[in-house]
Amino acid sequence: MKYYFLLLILMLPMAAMAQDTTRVRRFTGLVLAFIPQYSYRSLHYDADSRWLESMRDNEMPNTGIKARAQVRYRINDRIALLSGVEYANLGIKTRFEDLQWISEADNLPQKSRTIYRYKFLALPLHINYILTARDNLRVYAGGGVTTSVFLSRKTKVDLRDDHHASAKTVGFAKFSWSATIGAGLEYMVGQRFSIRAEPFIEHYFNSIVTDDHIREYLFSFGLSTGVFWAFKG
Amino acid sequence: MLFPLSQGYNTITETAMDQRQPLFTWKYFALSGLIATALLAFILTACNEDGLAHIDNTATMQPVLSEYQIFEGKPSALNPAAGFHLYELSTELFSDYAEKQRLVKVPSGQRLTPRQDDLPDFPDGTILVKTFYYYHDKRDTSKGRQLIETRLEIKSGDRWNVGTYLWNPAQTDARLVTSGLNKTVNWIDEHGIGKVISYHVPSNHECGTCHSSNDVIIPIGPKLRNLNTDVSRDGAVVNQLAYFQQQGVLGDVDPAQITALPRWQDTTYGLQDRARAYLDMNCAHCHRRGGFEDGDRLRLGYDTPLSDTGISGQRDNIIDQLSEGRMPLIGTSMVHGEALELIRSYIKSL
Repeated sequence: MKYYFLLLILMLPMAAMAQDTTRVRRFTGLVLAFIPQYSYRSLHYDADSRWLESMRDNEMPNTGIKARAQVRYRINDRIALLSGVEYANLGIKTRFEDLQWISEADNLPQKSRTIYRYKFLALPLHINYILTARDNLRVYAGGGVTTSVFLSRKTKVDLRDDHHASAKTVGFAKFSWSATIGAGLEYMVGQRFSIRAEPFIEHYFNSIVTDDHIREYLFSFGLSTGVFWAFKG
Repeated sequence: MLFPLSQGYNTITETAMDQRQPLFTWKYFALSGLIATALLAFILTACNEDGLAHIDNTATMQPVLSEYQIFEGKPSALNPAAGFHLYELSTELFSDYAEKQRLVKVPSGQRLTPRQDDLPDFPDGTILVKTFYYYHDKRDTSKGRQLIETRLEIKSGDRWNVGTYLWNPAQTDARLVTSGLNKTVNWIDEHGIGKVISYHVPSNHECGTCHSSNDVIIPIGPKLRNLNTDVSRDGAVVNQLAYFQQQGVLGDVDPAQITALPRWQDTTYGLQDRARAYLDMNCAHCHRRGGFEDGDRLRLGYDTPLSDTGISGQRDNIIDQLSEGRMPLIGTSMVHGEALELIRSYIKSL
């Protein structure tokens, strides 16, 4: 299935190029976005490993961020493509659990939790479709696909007053694909500047782990906030 | 007022941009670059392997550890049953300060066949057992311990089969785990400091990171040079290789002719010997020909001449990788501070 999505990615800019016969300026500007988000994962076990589900009951979503720079490419009056680069940091965490100690010692931590952070460098390709526009305001729907290169997974043990962390890269898929949908507002604050806000949801459609017995699919939701800076004409 | 949709992406600014210009601008090339990048990603999809050897066990691993009857009496006491022999390594793989008990069982009437100072030939049916545990309080080990996992390597049909067993909270048995998981573990170390880690129990798939050689699964620790050390058995200090021969576990070999890997903590050895011993046991299973990091030109086996190791050219990189916890690739969540100091001193001395 991922091959079809990838072909679709390839076809979109090609289709845009194929229609580029009017020789009008189509790269209209730059979108810079900072995206706070909540992320989580869905786990799918094979029969041998299903008993592990109960061990993961104390997991919960965690905050993360994305930072993105995209060029906007105008296809027609309603539709624009956006593509560029993105840094993504998705996280999950466990709830604080009480620590049991057999002996006494100074400064023993009483609670701990573990925070996992998945880091990616990504190439997003999105489409924006203008639903309506009024004065300086545009309302649009957006969607797209993202190809992500896995950088590392950081595991942080949080002891409230202290913490330590390590990062690992083995056992994870090098490349991941995700789909995003959202809807947003873009408000022009000047001749060349607009501000944007876009709630979205994103779901990865390949497993981030390469384990033979478990599938782990990340997903996130958040608010993409950013600015659009129009190129000088 | 709703403005016409013809001005959707044709705002004042963008309308001004709607001017005729050459088709082949830098933007054309930018778009082509984007397409090429996507195409590259498409091609790389076919290479989306993580580089780990796939472990296809030829023998079915039992669902619970007790099926193997490795321990007699109370399982948590870890008393080896008849036929299982304790073995110790001069220098161990660091695993977040976990204690380890190692056992080997060779089929009756068969022996390990020495191959110089490397891994011996293991007969079919050999079982290697490694149990990871932490003392609740390392200042006073009588206060008990927490068993975490037991890993089995079983040779069957000339191939090694692997299985990881996670001990239950009651410490009465352990259950086969095929997928990896993290487990919070806490203990008090020998200095009275409370330690808390997110201990990672590896998946079968991850076992291939350290245990693969040219995509074949092999043991790491029990090289003869790493077994060639004095151990305490039946109240006497004996050479372990000699003891194994006496027990009928190991074929004929003269321990004096086998390299003895130093204990990396033993300061009666020189800095180089200790550091190279540590690198041999903690890094060389990947950093050697056929290992997981075959391509990086580092060769960290103890018997590799220094000039062939590649250490000199990667001094800073080695220290960075170790001090930032990026190495080893798997099996640790904290930096091995004492060993880092050793390696740092060694590299500085070169």
